[in-house]
Amino acid sequence: MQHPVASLPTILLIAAIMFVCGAVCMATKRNAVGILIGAELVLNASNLNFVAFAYLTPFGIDGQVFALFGIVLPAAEAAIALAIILNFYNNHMTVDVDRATELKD
Amino acid sequence: MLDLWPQILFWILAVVTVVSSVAVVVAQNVVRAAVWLLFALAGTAGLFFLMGADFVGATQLLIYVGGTLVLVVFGVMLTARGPFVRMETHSAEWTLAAVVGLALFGLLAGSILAASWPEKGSLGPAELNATSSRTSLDLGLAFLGIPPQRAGGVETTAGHDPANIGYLLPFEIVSVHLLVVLIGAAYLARSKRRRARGV
Amino acid sequence: MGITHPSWPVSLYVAAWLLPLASFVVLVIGGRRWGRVGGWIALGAITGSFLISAYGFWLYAHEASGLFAPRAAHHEAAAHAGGAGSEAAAPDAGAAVHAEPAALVWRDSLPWIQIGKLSIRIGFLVDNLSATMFLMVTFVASLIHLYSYGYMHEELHEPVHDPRAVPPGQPPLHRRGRFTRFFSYMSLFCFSMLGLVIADNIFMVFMFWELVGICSYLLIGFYYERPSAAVAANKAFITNRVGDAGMIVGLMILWTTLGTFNFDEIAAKLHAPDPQLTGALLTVAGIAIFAGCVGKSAQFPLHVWLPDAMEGPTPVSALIHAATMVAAGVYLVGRFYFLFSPTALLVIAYTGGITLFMAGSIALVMTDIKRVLAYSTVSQLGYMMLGLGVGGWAAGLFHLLTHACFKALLFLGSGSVIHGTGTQEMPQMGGLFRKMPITAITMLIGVLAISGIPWFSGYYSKDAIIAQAMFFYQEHPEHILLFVLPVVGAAITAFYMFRLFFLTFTGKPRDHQVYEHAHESPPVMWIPLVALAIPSMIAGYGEPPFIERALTYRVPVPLAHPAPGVHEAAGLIALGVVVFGILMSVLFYYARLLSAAEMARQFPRLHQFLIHKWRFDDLYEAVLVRPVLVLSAACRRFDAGVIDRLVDGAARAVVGVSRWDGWFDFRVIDGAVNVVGDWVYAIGYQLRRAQTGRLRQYVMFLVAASLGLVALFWSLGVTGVSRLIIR
Repeated sequence: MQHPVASLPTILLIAAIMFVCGAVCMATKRNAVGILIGAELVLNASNLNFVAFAYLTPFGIDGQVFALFGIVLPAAEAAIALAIILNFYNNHMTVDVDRATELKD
Repeated sequence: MLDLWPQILFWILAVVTVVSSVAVVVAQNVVRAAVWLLFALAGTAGLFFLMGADFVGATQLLIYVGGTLVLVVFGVMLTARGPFVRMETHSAEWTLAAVVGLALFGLLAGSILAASWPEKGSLGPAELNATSSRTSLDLGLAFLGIPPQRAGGVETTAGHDPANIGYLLPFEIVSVHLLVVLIGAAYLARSKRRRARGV
Repeated sequence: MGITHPSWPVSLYVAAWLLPLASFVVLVIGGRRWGRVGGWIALGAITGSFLISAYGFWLYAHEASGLFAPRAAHHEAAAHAGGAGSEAAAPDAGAAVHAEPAALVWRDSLPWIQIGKLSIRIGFLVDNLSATMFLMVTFVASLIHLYSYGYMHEELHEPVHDPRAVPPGQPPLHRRGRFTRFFSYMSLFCFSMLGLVIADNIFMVFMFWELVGICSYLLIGFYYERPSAAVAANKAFITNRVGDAGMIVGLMILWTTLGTFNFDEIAAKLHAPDPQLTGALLTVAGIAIFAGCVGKSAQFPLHVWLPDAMEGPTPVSALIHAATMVAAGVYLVGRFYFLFSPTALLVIAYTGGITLFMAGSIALVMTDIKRVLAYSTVSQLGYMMLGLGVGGWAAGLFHLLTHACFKALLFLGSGSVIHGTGTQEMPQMGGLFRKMPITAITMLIGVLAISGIPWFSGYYSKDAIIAQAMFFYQEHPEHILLFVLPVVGAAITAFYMFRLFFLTFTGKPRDHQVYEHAHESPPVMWIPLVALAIPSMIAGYGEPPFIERALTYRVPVPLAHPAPGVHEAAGLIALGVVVFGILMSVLFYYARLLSAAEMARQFPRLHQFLIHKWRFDDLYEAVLVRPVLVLSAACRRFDAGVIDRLVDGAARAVVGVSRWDGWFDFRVIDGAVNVVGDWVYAIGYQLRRAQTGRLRQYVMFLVAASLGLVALFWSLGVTGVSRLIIR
């Protein structure tokens, strides 16, 4: 019988730190790629939560399945986001999201 | 002493992950932020291994670290022209973001600590044994609707229910989703000039 | 009527009846495209009808062999059959003489209308009367169709000039020719008239009665651009309505009391031991039916339409307003003879007597050749009615048949004169004998026939009527008028008919332009004249006259025949007054020893009275038309003053309400909607400001919103947020 490597709240706190870092990253980076990086951090934090739940709660392996989706879907999201960023860059010669306000009106 | 290695490893990886995450936020250069992200993701993958999710951890390494991050780096490289590599943010914004971020962290931490988490009881954690790990098999069985037969595992269903097709359908949906996304990305990323030439 | 007969002779008659209808349909569908062929179609149809009916008549005579047997046998038969009603037997040709002597009747019927108790069948009845009438109608109609083919020829030329359709001084009206239309109307008329003749119930008779009325209306108004023609058509139609109203009353009485329309059934029920219809009601029913006949046959006091009906083309006058349709009233009286009570018959007799005298007196002074003939027709119809009224069933109908021939002849002759001279006014004619010999000779035959000269048909038929009237006078001396009137009428008839002949054909030409213009008509027109002249001469021959025998052979109507001596006496009296009338006419208009103008000066009031047609039109104008107009004007004023004002007021009120409603809509409803819209717009505009378009701010909003939500939960007292999130 092995002890768990850490208690559940510990892992969740680590994930919370990552989550907050991702959110702050999205809020502060003006570079579009920077925002994408922030989003990856947020999603990664949620994956960490899922795996922790699978590890330390009686819900079985379901958490890991969710984590798999949580990996695959951001990959797709990243591909789309980069494509959008590249197009935006091609059209405006910039990646500053503060300049991307066409949809405002 | 040997029993403590997982804990030690866990803490090392946790520190790496947290520090890298913070560094991502703090880094002004987007290239550096990308590199810090690489460390953060890799650390998370290590944490997955430690928590007995070896398949998920491997997937994390393959897709995230090997795929997504490469995409990001490509994006950085394609758009990294002098002024955009470093884009300063106003300090007021920084302050605001920090306050809000701390508030959010406070909320999350409060919630985590206030909650009474369900205990796993007498169940031992999954063995950290790469050769004998059964999570790949469990995941595959779970996809096919067969619950894990681990001793003492919480059985929601006894035996295989033919109506329970498990996670196979979502898995297939995700596969198609990925394909669609790849095609869509390829389409979006096509250069207009090239298209004009093509026509 | 349980006896079934081989229905094929009836089918024969039905075929003859339907031929003109087929012609009508073909002409209506083809319309103008037929051109002159349309005339041949109609002529062929009616000639076919004539040939079929001639064969049918021959069959009838053959089957009832003995139709031309001596009178004695017939008398016996009539006496026997009198009580037996109209129960018809089916005698074999050989056994007829010995078997139960009853009239031979062919009948057949189809169910038609069945509404509750009301059961009406399309029934056909061929007996002595209808077979004879059918033959006469088809014969006269065929000849008149042939005549029309020539007379209406100008309708083939396009465009037709009609100078009479516009006031004098204006250019004549130009219109399209109506040759085919004329013949389609004629075919429709023939169909209707034949249907009237062979119908076996009063309902069908009424139907065809109205149909011939419509045809008459259409044909009188054939030149409807002429105001006089349009007025005359309306007058004819409306006057007939008055009579038909009475007829409908009669029909209703018959239906409510007897419950049937069939002639045979009505006769049977009336002759039943306990009839449902007796006394005053029977008289009223008879007089009501007779009212219809008064209208159709232009009897006093509804005679006013017939002279005006001369506005139609002359062949129409000959066919409809002389020979057939106007005779339909007489025919119906004859057909319904068993219905009339003695009182009703007396009414009929007096009506006829008054009519014949009045119309004859008017004919004395008329100068329009067709109007003279029209009044003559009215007068002769009066003779027929009188004959029927005094009990001379056969005499009246005999006169009907002979009159049809010679009056059609006279009308066609006058048409020939009009065609040749272009005028209808006798004072403009004169001396036309040399110009149109055939017309003159055939018309002379007609004049002799109508005047009642021996060896011409009119003598025998009129003699029969006068004899009957004399016999009636001998039995009822108080009714001397019924004897005096026809005798005086005979003198008058002779006088005005010879006046017509002398004025037209003899003497010096009075209008040289007309005289130069005059010419004999083409063969297509004089052949019918000759063909009609022959029966006008010989139709009265036989002892007794064969037509009378054809009508009365084994007919079960109780007939009161005058004694033989009465016949001779009446004939002598009639001949005497006729000779007197002719003599006077010769003195006035041929020898010119007396002057008609001098007479007119000496009796100005009488002359004016006659010229104005006994002032009937004035009387009707004053008594009927004027009050109706006054009433109409009052109604119009009421309409304009009260109804219109009410309607206007209502409309104005509606407009006011609508206006207020519009204001309410605009101010309140629209205003409320606009206010809501403005609010939504304003809120949206304010909210839109939150959409900064800055991605990073959105992230901040997200985070801040989730924080705010939790704060909200806390403030609302929801504890255990984490638990909430997990579970």
